[in-house]
Amino acid sequence: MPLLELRNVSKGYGKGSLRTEVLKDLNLSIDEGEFVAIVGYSGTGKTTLISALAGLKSPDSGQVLMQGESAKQPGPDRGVVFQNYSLLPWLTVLENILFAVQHVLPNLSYPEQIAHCEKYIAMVKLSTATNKRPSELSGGMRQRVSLARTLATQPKVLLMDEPLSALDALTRGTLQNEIVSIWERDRRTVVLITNDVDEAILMADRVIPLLPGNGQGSTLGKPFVVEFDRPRTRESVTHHPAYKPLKKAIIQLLLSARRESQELVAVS
Amino acid sequence: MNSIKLKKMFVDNVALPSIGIAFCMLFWCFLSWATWDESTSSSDFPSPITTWSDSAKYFASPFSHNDDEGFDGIGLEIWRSLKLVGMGYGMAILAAVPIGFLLGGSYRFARMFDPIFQILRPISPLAWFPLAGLIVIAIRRHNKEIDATQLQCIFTIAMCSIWPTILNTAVGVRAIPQDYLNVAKVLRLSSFKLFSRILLPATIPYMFTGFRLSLGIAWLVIVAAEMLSGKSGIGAFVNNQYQSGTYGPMIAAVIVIGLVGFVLDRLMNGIERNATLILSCPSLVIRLFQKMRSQSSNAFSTNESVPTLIRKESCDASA
Ligand SMILES: Nc1ncnc2c1ncn2[C@@H]1O[C@H](COP(=O)(O)OP(=O)(O)OP(=O)(O)O)[C@@H](O)[C@H]1O
Ligand SMILES: [Mg+2]
Repeated sequence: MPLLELRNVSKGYGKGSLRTEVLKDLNLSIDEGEFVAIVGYSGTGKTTLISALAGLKSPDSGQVLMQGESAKQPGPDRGVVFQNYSLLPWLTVLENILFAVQHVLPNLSYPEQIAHCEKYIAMVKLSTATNKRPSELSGGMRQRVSLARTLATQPKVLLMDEPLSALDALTRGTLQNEIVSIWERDRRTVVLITNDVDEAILMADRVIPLLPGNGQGSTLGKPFVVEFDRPRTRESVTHHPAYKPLKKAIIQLLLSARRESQELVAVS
Repeated sequence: MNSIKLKKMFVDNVALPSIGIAFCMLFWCFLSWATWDESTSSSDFPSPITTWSDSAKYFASPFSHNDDEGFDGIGLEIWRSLKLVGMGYGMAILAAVPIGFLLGGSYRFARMFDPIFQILRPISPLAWFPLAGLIVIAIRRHNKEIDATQLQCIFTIAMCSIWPTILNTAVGVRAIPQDYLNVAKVLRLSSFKLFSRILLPATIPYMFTGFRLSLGIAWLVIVAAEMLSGKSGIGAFVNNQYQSGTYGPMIAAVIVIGLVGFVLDRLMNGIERNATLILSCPSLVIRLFQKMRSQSSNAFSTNESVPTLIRKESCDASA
């Protein structure tokens, strides 16, 4: 049984003539321990998709299933790293994480909870900023706090909405490796939303394109299976003979879908 | 650099305000010169000097009863007014915060009560005062001990100063970003925790703006209410001096009213700007805790005192 499943999910916003369809008839099943990346251009509905997976937005039709059961309400078993960090500005880095940890792991003693938080702060290399407030951090640091907060709650599924998009190329690279190694250690199930095809290939077992559908809602394209050996590094992946054709195929698919949808919009 | 800064501070905070005050004093002198009455050889509007000499006895020992001479110090009168303000204002904000949360958080509540609030808000304290009197009459039927005029003042203050806090709290609740609520939803917070850990801290800056505005109104209202009730307090003092034709102490009291209002506003301004400090109290505790722990772990020189984690299956913090 897949851990997380979408069945014929459609979602749009607004009513009447202002109605925009965003997702159309999506089917997706994610197995336990799998790392799935969803790639798509800006505005194709990636955040909407992850909100549906998390239970934050209920689909207009279709079902979201978690371990075979309908999962309409969000919960800590599906941790979300939000695109806009969503840190609480009046709490420090440690407190932001502690807030989540205290709620999810109430059986730990207080010192244990703090030690638990500090471990994850160290994991995203923010130990020097433990007692700073979000307003004192750079965008990339905030994103790392958000990541640490979600990791610290030890969710069954980790849903990440462009967690690295605000980072510079160098930091992005280190954090990609970091996330992959964290994942390889405890094989949590991950859904990563990204607009970077390289990132998707480096990190994921399956890359699924989200294709814009000429105003009738985006659809999921056919998945690309990435069969490179793990542990992967940027070098081993980019030098793999299958890498270039794979990347080319994904980009081709994304580009042609966009071209088609633009042409159709232009004609209509 | 530093001396320039000092000079600027002196000019901004001492020199320029002094010039402004001097202008006002000049105008005051002109006013008393212009109202000079030949027949009584005094001004209808007392000059600053007459004002001071007439009212000095009220300032000499401001906090004492002078029963034998039949007057109380001005500080005592201010203190009586402040007590009533404190009670009325306290009642107002205690009621205003929950009402504000309901108004900002519940669409239905807002639909029900927003029109009423808009009608009640502009009612003058002078109109509230007799209404408050009716309620006091009813209360006194059951308990004769209660000081009727004081209670009437307190009710009037409460009714007039409640609105800024209600409205600002509601604005604060409506301004809470969806992001914070998403975090709460993913963690499945109970409604109590949602309120105490997210809604309340997110609204506190708005609430404190409301508190400051409410206190300003409370101070405006007490003077009016005491003038109507006419027993004790600084408002009654002004009225009594006016009725008995001793205008010097009256003017002095009016100035003191302004000064007290100014001090109250500064005070609330300071509190308002440090509202987030209140929110950081938990972080201070955590930091203290961390310090204690790092000290104790140094003392043992091993890591034994660092608590070990129960959840061993989760990953290590290796680089
Ligand atoms: N709450 C909302 N109300 C109305 N329309 C919305 C809402 N949220 C998103 N949309 C619309 O849905 C579409 C998809 O939005 P979404 O945020 O899911 O895109 P995205 O793929 O995450 O984009 P990005 O890469 O820029 O984050 C957009 O056209 C947007 O205008
Ligand atoms: Mg998005």
